Amino acid sequence: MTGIARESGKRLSRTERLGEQFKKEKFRKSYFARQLKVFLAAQIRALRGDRTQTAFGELIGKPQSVVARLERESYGKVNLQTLIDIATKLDIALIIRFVNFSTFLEWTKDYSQEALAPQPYGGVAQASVALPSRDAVQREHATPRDFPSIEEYEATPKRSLPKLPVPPAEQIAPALQ
Amino acid sequence: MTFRCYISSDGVDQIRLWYDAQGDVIQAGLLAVMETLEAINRDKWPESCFKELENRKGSQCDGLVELILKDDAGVHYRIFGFSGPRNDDFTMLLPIRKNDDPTYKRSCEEAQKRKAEVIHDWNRAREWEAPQSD
Repeated sequence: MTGIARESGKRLSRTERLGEQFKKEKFRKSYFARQLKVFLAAQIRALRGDRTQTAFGELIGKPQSVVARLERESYGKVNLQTLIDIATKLDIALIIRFVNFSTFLEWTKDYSQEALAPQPYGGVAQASVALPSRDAVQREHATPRDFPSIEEYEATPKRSLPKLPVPPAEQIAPALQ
Repeated sequence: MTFRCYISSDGVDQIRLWYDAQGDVIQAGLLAVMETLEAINRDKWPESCFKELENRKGSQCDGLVELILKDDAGVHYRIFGFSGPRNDDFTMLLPIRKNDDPTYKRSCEEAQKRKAEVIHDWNRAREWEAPQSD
């Protein structure tokens, strides 16, 4: 058992568990390569849904043999342009970038149906794009102009109420009676 | 989908026992495959992670499925299993090193025997838990 698990007695999360196992070079390299291939194959299969490989091939403009190859994760020789073509035809996006292993673990923890078969633009996805997140709104509005620096604040002339003449005491006293 | 492991009559988790004895490549590969397949209905599993087996001449493979694994030296491994005993379960019954294990040809027979034991007693299939240790 790992140190963390032994001390706390609780089960580790996926990220904690794999984070420990990733200390072994061979493990992390094997895991990332297999996860990448099998998840991509699973995505193609999920995006195909109940269609035949031929029907799905017609939809994405590829022959059935290409669909079959893409669903066979052991094939492993996926053409980047093919993936871009599929994303374009299905009106979904594609992310391919090199990342560190922490980011990899974070990004690959979502195995939901939406992660497997994302909605095309125009459905739920369009609403998500049209409605910016709360973070995005805060970023957009919380600009330095809204929150002046301490130097700017100190330099701003102080505003105060105009000084009114104080009436003599004999004028105030009758009003209090 | 829940992955389960065959428990022999002496209470030993035979899948876990085998898994713990494997090298990093096979351990990592199996974890990556299971994590993905767990999230998918059995009828939507991508090809080549698995193979549906069927009766062939002289074999008893009907109703079995094999998960496909390969290490970095090109050695093939198979884990025989079946969909069940509950709906949405997949029980791993028998792991085997395909290339050079002389018992490979009789693995369907052994897997069917284990499958029958699990169907008879569901406690003979324990839910897979990802290892917490190195």
